[in-house]
Amino acid sequence: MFVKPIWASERRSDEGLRRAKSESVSEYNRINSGWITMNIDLTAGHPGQTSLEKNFERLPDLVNTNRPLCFRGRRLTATIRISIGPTDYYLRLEKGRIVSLTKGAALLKSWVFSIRAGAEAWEKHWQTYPPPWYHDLFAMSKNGTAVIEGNLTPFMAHLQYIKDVLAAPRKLSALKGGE
Amino acid sequence: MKVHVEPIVGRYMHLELQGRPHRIYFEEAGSGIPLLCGHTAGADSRQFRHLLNDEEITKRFRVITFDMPWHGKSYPPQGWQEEEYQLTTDSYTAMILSVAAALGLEKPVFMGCSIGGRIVLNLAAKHAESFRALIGLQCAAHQTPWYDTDWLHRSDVHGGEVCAALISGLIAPQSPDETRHETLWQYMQGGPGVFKGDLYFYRVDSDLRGILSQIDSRKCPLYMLTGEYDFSCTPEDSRNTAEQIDGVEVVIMEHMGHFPMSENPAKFRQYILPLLEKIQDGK
Repeated sequence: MFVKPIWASERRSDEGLRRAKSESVSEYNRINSGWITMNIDLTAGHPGQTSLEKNFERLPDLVNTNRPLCFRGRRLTATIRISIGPTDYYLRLEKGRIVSLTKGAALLKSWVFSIRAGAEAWEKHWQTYPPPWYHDLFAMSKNGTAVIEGNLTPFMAHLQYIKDVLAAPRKLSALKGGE
Repeated sequence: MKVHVEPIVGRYMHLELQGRPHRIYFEEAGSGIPLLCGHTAGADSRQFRHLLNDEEITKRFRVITFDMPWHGKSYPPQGWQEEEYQLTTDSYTAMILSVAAALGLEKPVFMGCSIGGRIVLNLAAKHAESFRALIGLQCAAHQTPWYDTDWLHRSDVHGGEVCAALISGLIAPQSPDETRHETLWQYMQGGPGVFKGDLYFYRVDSDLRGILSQIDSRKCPLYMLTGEYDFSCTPEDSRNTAEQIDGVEVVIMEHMGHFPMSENPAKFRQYILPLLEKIQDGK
């Protein structure tokens, strides 16, 4: 029996790739639109960037190279805000892929829903095996270390996808042989 | 081709519950002391498939599990389309006693998880004489609600997907992928509003803190096991309950969440085997 991978219908043809290159999309989307193999440089970064921020900024690589995950998010197009302590990030999701990740407060920037947690909470959440109360967004919400707000209908409609997107940096802990 | 056929046998029983005829699906394997198992809210009896296939257990226990009405292969009662499903403490208690009686079980052990863990406390307080022992998995007399259950039954959010996504965080991160996703699949297959209807019992109709003083664990031994990753029925919730009952202690299961028998059967075995041995020896 032949079983078609669930994302097969979403895979872009060469024509699709050419079209994507001509579209005004972010560098990440252009690079990743052909489902390239993830090749992450764990030492890359820029001055002043915390290791936590560095890991989080790998999110487009981690998500866009995960075909089943992108497939599950294919009905979601939205801008969401993720805050790591005082640092805000705006994630632009289009059909389940991250097309841009913008750091820093932006005046009057609108978002559909937002998840805020302190750096310590995210650090625990992104361990390979997070400790109890830090292994799930709702656990963090229940113990008061995370705040989920905004329009919760698209959030709940794509709950497992969002949870998996935001847990994706765990893979970096695993790659580093971390906790 | 070599085929492995499991020793589990599944059948249907017809019985009256709450004055209405029901067709209830149940499975069993093994012989010996009857061990009746109750699944979690919004799921079904498949959660116990590893227990039913465990020879170490089935050589000493007749393990039986059933799908509650509205769950798994047990249909809702006739006319269900005109009503909203709501499980209550009374209907749940009567269901367990009726199933045990219908199968002719002589003083069975009852083991329930989550809502099944909660109802164990009511059975211990009011029907201790009917059971040889009671085991509450993820058991507490009360829990603090942590989300709005309206999300579980809406036309604009897929019920199966949201139910599974909600409970996915209650599975420990160490649990194997295969059994984690089996556990999620059970939730993805629940009928519309059924998980929410079960939680009516859990959230609204079963604050059992007031009856804990009626429990005498010498009449019927009561055991409690709770996974350390469960943030719904937390280890603290279980400890708070156990503190109110003489002679009862909670075992906190390491690297385990809300669905021990289903999410990590190999790990659960390490905790349940010694306990079943104790029950068999009458200790």
